[in-house]
Amino acid sequence: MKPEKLSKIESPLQVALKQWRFQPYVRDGKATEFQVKITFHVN
Amino acid sequence: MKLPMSYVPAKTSFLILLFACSSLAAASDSIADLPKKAIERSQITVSGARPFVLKASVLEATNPSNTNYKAEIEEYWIAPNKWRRTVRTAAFSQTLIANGDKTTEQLIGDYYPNWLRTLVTAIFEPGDTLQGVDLSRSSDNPVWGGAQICRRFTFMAGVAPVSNKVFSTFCFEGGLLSSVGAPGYHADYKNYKNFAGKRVAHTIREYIEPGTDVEATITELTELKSVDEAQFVVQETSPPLQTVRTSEEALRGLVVSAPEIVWPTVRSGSVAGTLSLYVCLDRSGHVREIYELNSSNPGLSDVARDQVMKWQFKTATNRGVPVQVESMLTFAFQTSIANPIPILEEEEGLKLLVHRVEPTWPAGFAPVGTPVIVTLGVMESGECYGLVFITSDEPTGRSS
Repeated sequence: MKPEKLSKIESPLQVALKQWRFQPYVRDGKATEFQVKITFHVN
Repeated sequence: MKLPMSYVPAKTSFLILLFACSSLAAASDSIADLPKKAIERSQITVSGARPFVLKASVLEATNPSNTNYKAEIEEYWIAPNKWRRTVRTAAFSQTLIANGDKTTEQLIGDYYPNWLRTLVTAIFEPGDTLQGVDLSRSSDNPVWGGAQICRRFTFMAGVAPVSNKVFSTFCFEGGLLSSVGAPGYHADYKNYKNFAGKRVAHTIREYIEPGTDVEATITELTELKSVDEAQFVVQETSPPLQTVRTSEEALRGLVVSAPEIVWPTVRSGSVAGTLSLYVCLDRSGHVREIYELNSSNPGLSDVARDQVMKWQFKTATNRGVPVQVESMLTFAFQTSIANPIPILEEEEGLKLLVHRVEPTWPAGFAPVGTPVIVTLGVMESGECYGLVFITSDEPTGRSS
């Protein structure tokens, strides 16, 4: 669990982010799992 | 509630909150009075409150077809010492009758889950979670925007030399309780409506884990005009099923079998740190539920959870009667990185993005413009498997 204030937004973020789709990230000729940092701004 | 009740952790007392519902106005509550006032305004099971019948349905809001979180709750309430409550899931059912100083219980199933007890407490005794809370002594005051007033308490879990920070946060809005987040209890109180001079939350949303929320919706709350005494007859006294919250040290004292946790290598995140779990045992000492608490590397919480699920404990008793037990467990971990996952900067990652859905922020979560930085995991196929980490460079608030 993250610090409490951030745990409150995990669910809505998960719902949105699990719908994101990327082109495969290719490294050494192979599609590779990766992580990416994204900054959102509350609106 | 005055009588012993199955869902109340031992640390909470059964004092009746003898509050008068003097006013629903909230503008001038002092921070010290806020919990007391909020409960005066909303709790329907205090002495002097109007008799009622309440029915509620429970489902997993994030996956309504999941039968594991379906439940029905029904209560006929006359007074703090005279009521009848039924909670029912596919695997468990309890009908508990209190009448004067006697109780009787009909039980089907061997385990009353934490997630259901949380909702029952949130509906009938929201004040239990606020007992002994002095908001003026909070660790910090998270600023979540909107009209919410929040206070967070930081405390240490673990048995020396292992320790970990865990948190309890209490939020209020308009003089009413809006959320409680604490080890073993996460509830948001929404959709307040008038009932018999009170303001009663008709929707309770419970956070289970990322992507899983359970919701209780009150479908009926009406004054009980005529009393059917037959409903409250206690023919044979039986003590209700109890759940006891204990210290980590005491829980470890109940261990029968607890193989050392094997920490696998990780592909990202911290390689050394601590993590805590909230562990719930049935009356036979079997682990039935585990909730993740704070972790230096959230990727390892599932690893620990899967292994602790196999631990075995002795049956705990209270005055000779087996009880359910809940406690935190804290672990220190040390591992290493293997086959590290590439971490792309935002600009590089967004070049690969082909479909984007914007999140819906909870109302009043934080001031407009507050940055929230997430690390998102993406599989070889380009599909996202979700959040890896969330942080924010927003100030955490001021000390009180």
